[in-house]
Amino acid sequence: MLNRRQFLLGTSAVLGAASLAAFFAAKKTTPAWLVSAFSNGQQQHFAGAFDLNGQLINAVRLPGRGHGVLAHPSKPGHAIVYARRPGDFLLEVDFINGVVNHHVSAETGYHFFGHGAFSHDGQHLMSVENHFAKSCGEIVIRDALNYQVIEHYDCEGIGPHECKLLPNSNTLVIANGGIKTHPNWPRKKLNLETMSPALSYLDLNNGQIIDHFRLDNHQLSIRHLDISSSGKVVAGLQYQGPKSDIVPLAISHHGQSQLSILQASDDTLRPLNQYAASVCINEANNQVAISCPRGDQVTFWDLDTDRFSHKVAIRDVAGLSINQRSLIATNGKGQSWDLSAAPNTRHAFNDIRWDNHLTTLNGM
Amino acid sequence: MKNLSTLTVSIALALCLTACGGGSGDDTTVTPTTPITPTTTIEEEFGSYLTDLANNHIMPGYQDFNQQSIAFNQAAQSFCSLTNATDTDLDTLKSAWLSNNHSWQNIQWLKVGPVVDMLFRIQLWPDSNSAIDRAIATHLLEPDTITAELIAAKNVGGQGLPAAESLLYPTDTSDDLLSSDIKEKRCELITAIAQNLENMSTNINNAWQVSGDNYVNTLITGTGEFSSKQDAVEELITNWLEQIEKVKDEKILIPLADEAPGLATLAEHSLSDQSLASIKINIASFQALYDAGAGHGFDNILNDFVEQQSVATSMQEKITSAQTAIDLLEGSYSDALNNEEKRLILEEVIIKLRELRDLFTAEFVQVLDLNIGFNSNDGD
Repeated sequence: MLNRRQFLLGTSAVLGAASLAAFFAAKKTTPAWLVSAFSNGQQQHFAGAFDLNGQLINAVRLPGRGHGVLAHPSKPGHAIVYARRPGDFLLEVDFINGVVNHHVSAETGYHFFGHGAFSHDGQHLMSVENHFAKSCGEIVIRDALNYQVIEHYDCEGIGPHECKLLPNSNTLVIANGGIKTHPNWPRKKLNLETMSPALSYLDLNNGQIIDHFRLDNHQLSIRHLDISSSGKVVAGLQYQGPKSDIVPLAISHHGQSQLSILQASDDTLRPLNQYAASVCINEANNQVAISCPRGDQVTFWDLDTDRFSHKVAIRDVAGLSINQRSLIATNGKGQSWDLSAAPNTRHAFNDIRWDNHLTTLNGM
Repeated sequence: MKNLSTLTVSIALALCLTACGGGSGDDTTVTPTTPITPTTTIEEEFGSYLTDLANNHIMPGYQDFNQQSIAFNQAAQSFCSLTNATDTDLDTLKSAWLSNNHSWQNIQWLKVGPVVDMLFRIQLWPDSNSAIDRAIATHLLEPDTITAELIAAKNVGGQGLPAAESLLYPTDTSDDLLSSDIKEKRCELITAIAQNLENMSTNINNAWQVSGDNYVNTLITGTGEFSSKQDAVEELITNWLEQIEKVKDEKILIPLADEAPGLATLAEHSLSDQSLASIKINIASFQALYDAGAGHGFDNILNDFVEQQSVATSMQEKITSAQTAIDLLEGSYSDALNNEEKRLILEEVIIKLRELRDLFTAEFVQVLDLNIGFNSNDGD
């Protein structure tokens, strides 16, 4: 097991040349698959990989409902599948053979929040977890080979959700959602009056929070995010206040002293019902796609100006991912859409309800 | 590695088919029976449901909403043409608004089709930002004549039924349509609102008609924005579920609060105090949603196609018990919120609606293999 110092040394290096070469070699010669958690009509839960032709490659049964998926950086066709909050498992899944390679349980007193990130060198997995006795959000660092815990870092916030690394940096950006939960009341939000969400930056070199950025409206939970190659962060919001309030859907941050709100008219925002699911930056057209399942829309925003551009209507849409320069969306009706195709193309999967998030990984 | 199974699509499908396989054997039965061979498919069953729901409930509902909007507009014009309007004249106008609102409540649950872009324009509620008051205040300062076209281009709060309610039942009686210092301007505004409601309801009604944009065909064939008839049914029952939650939580639970006198100002029609009538109409619409307006409803599909009579019986019982409970109340909602005996009845209605919701989201959708807003209702 690596000690903390070895871990810091490892993560200080950016993605190595050898692994880069392997990564892109694989990408050029192999079809890219998409992976998402899903459920069927019998409330059974799975994670499945499918291709752009709408073919399910493989699926594995999950112990409970899944949430976020991470492509394994050094194992083509493999991914980490997280349990949905407040689940206690993460799995390393080999989608080529349809098997679970590793089943990792949360430590006693912890549960997962559904998301994580690999270090740039691929040697460490950083998971967003809840120490629920202390009601303390933490980033838990594990060895990416054997998934043994190396380190815990305090997020300095309640209810952290999605996290991603800044490019070419050892700084982890965390959407500190602010919502207190406890596994004894699995889906209940326990602190809506006092919640204090933030976009937080954690220095992985020392485990210290560099800065928090908050919104004036403390009930705008910062939940999911994506980061551009230049380091611009766009994060989706889920509002916990009165249903009739018209609130922003997302914020951005690129080194300024405060968060910027993505701009749209009230008439655009109102039907979105205060809820963003996935955020996906598409640098090919300089846009941000944000899925809004409660508004049955994928919304598109200009990456530079933070202004609303247009929308595409898809019922119960949530998952978004860039795959071979195409934006792919999935929904709870078992459909996948290529939103870069003209006209948009759609595949339907029988008895599948694609869950919140979608990830691209390399197949074989 | 734990005992995690792997599977392919075919295996998943096989699991599904196994799990869906219904019927229980009865070893003691000696009388030979002829197995029931379904003569339709579930897609055809859903098609029949959609056709009957559209013809028996949705389209008559929009037609009535259109007629009541026309009547309200005519009443507003008549009232505002009077030089010396009386309380009786104002009551006549209020009655027309009330009928218009009741008609809307009957189809308030529906959020697909032509109405989608007009939902907030017809009724913005709840309104925690005071958008209605602000929009009315802005309109009343309008130097030019206020027209339906003008308000249709402005804030949605100043366009629909709640804005009209605010003018008809002002908090300060000196602002009413009989005695206000600017009663002519207020009359101008309520006439524009009524005309705007008529315009919207006409557009919606025409869009549904076969002779119009024929949206009814889109719905009953499960085409256009729908991928199948099942997809269309799933959208409608998701709308239904949302309406159950809205009635239970926003219309009853929140105004009920922890104790008397409740929070009547948070009720749907706090100014006119007509919230109770709206709730009754909402719950009555659940019956139409269930039995497709006495047509080929979910009761038929559950009893005759999937042979889940117990689920059919339970669904009907839950709907009936919610109706029975709310029918025990009459009149003022604010009085009901402030009366311990009536508060108990409202709590009972909440319980019945909660039971309906629980059955709906479990057995009902499972036996029909329907998907209710997987990500929109239970995301993270």
